[in-house]
Amino acid sequence: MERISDIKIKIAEKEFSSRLIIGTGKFENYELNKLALEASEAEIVTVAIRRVNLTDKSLPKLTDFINPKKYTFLPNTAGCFNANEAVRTLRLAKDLGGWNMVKLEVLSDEKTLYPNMIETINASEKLVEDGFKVLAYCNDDPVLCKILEETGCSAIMPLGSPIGSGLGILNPLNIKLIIEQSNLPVILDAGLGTASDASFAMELGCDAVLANSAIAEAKYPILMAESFKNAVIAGRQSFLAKRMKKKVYASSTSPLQNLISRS
Amino acid sequence: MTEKTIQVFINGKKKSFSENNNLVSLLNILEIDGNGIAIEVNLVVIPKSQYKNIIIKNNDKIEIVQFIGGG
Repeated sequence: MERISDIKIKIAEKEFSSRLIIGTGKFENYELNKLALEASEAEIVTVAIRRVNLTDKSLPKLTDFINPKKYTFLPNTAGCFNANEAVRTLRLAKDLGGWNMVKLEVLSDEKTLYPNMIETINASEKLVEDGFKVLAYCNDDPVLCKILEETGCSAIMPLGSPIGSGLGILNPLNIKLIIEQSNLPVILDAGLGTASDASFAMELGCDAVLANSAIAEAKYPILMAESFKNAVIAGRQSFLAKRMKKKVYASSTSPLQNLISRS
Repeated sequence: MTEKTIQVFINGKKKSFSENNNLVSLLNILEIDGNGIAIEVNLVVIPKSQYKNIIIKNNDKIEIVQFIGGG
């Protein structure tokens, strides 16, 4: 009997067992964040870079709860609205952690938080030149995703719907097209609202998903984190198993021969 | 002889220091742990090994950053 088993995901020449990436924003506190992360069994976490508070030094530190030696930190450029800001932020991140794998995220406006693709492409070019391994948050536009890929980045991260919206994958056709054409890992980045959205992303053929708000804003984040873990595994297995064909009419599961008499 | 003071901008806030402080002494004065931070002086990231060699100057724009939670 043929048995299909999964392979590890390779991002920027590094192998990971988990296909779920967890964000560290919006959690009520870092302790809850840590517990949710453990429940998710994710190996990569996104983090932001911000100014140190000069007046209140008693504030808890992320790294006191989530160990950068245990998890792969993926510094992001959330809050950057042009290529220069993003590059500047990631140069600081590189010095902070010593890693060169980063999540590039250049936004266009505060209302939609849609990526500014022109600035994203410009920033990716500069960062690749600087030796960064760029995982780029991007729109679900196959044409722009291809241009982004040609900058030499390491992964494509199309949105399912706006960041933090929880609307799920609004354009599965585009995501499918992006996956089909991509030579890089495709990581569904934004908009997932619940575990079935993550399964759907994986069934479409995404290599991984990133979830933050869906977990942090759930009533029970630790349970939701575990649910996402299972959903990503289930979705991936379902993708590998290759689903049945859809039919318009019913197709009986039980044989229709040798039925007892109806008369 | 009176020590001259200089003004620098740290994380966007104007602060006064005496002359001839390097980044190590600046962190000491600010009571900031040098681990888990990165420093940029006038848009240039300063590697940790260079902290002791960089003397802060009048009107320097210094950013001291750390990791926080983010998506």
